[in-house]
Amino acid sequence: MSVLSVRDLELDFGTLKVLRGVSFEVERGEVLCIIGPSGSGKSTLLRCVAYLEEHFRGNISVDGELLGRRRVNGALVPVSGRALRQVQGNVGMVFQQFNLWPHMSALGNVMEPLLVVKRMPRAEAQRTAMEYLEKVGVADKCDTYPDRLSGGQQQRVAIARALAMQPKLMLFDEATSSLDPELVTEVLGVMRQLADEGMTMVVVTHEMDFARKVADRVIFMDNGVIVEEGPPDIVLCAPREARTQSFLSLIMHEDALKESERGHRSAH
Amino acid sequence: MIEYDWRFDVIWDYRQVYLRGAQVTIALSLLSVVFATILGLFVALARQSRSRIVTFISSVYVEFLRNTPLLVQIFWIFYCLPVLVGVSLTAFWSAAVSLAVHFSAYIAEIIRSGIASIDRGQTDAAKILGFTYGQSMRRIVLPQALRRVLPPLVNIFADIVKLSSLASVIGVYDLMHSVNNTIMNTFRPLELYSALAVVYFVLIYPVAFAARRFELRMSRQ
Repeated sequence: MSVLSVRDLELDFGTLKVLRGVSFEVERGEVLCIIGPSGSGKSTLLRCVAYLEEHFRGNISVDGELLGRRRVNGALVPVSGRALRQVQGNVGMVFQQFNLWPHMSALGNVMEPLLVVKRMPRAEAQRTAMEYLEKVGVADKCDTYPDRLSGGQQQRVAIARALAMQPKLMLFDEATSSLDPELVTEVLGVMRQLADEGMTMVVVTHEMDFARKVADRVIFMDNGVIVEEGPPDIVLCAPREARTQSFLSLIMHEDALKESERGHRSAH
Repeated sequence: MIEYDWRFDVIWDYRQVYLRGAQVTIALSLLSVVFATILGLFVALARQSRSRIVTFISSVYVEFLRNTPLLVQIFWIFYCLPVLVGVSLTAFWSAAVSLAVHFSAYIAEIIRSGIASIDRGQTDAAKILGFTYGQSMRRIVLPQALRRVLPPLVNIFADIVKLSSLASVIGVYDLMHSVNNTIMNTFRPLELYSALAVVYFVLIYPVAFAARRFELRMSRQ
């Protein structure tokens, strides 16, 4: 059974159609990468799966249960409160801007949901939180506040915070896009390790190299629809669609530019 | 300068008046600060409500209180409210309620601006981790928002102490009223009013000073 199933997803912001009928499934243990130009709707798609956008049409099921909707006489009606959070609780999300809580230490950030949502005793929450901080390699920074952590460390704490809730599905929304180039690797390393451990993941990314090596399947989105979908060797190396081809050549060109910049910098 | 026979010893003779008056002023101000803050917090949350009716009522509440004189509100609560609802409050409690209600409108606006300044990602993260609206407000948003609005909030507290002197008009024996009475008996307004100003300054300056310190600490962060 698939962990995530998205069917005929549509979403408008006013007159702007952001998603126009998106359907896909993610199997247990699968890593799905979503690529596409900015404004193509891929982040919005993730926000729908996290139920941070509520007013979508179509339906989303997580682990076989409808997200934020209930079927009444064949029609879908919105649910809220506990019924929603139960399904939402199976989903963990990592954001581009990390979104750590600045008034809590790294440890506090990971403990807080365990205490508040899972109602764990303090000692157990602390033990669990430390375990996950260790897993992502920032245990030594547990007493540090987010503003004193590097972007890479912040993002790893954010990953630990999501993992500690034991989600069945992890969403990564451009998790490395606001990191300095030298910090990208450490975060991608953690994500790769997660993938190797069999976590089901949906990753919105511009890191083509990561997609090529880690993804089981790649989706290329443009203009609110899935343009092309398939294994990374096909979609990233030999795409059938013209739009995918032009996007990839653009990205490749940018990457080459960045690479030459880096070369210049290190030459000085 | 006119010749005036200053008699500062009168102040010392009536020190008990100042002391007792200051006690009432402090009690009145503290009560008003506490209730105004609690009330203001709820009004701030009501203004963000999803229900149109709740946001409408709370914005009428804020606008009405901010655009009518506090003095009128004090008289209204002291004289009119008892007639309308059949509960009569003492002068002291009428004044406390008036001050709390009046300043809750200002505090609500300050807290609302604080809440609005918190990045949406903060609550997004809480939501996806399973926090309810209330949990995310209490544990994530308000601790950050209140810290941010502490300086303007404390300035309001200083205003509350100042304007608590209006309670004298309905006969609360606060600093203002007690000293006024004493002047009726002693005919020594220059000494006693001057001393009154100094006592108010001693009460209010530490509050204003604290506000400034908070502001400094904020700007350094």
